[in-house]
Amino acid sequence: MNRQAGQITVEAVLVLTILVSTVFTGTRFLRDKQILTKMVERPWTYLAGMIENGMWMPAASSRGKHPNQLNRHGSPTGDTP
Amino acid sequence: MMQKAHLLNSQKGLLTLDFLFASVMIFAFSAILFSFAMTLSVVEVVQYVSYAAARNYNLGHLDEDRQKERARQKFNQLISNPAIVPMLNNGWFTVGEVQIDDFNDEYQPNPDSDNFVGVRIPFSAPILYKRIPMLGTTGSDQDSFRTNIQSFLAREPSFRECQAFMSQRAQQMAALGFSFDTNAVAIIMDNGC
Repeated sequence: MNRQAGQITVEAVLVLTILVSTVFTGTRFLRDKQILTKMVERPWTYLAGMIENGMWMPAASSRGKHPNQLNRHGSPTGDTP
Repeated sequence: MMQKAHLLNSQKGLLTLDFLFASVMIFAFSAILFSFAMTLSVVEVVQYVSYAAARNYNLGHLDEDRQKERARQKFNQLISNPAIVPMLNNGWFTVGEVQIDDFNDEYQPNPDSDNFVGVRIPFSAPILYKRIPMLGTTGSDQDSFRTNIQSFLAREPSFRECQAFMSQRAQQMAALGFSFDTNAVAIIMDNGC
């Protein structure tokens, strides 16, 4: 019982277990919460709205706000305030 | 026994796990940034293609079919340019069949802005879909990254539409009791209007 020859081995195994567990837990969290999807696919929906309709909104809901929806008129004297 | 103790005390490989994880993260984020940069560049190019095609659709011609034909010719000419073809054929981006039409039904504009007439190009960017080890995927599937690239420049009336309009107007005026001596009038036409 007084011999300490295997102590470092036990500690190494423990440290390795903790490290691997942490990495697995972290990557599983990233996958389960779809962090990467939220970083790419969700911004794309807004980007698609800007590409399609010129608004920072999802394309389906930004059609009513397309700049072509604005009334256009010309006035030589300018708009009244 | 001493050799085993030295072996376990060695810390040379301690950072290997961190390095692997960090490498994957850096690679993933670099790839995503690269993909977005390429996507936005190609979107700009396709946007110009839609604009150029819409200009050809806008200009007056014999009838609407000819206007559409000219727009389609312009689309085919630009989209088959050797500068853009490699980008559209390598699986990173896809461009669907061009639609040249009146899209007012989809947009339901108010009567003062009934001008959603032009060119639409379905576009998708499968390059943005990535399956990265340990981190997951960047989207639900490859079809997640779709949009429409479009230009609405309206359309001038065609020669035949103008002729039909003028004919209908003359008939309605005749119905009011006016008579027309076609030999006394010199008809000067550009596109019929």
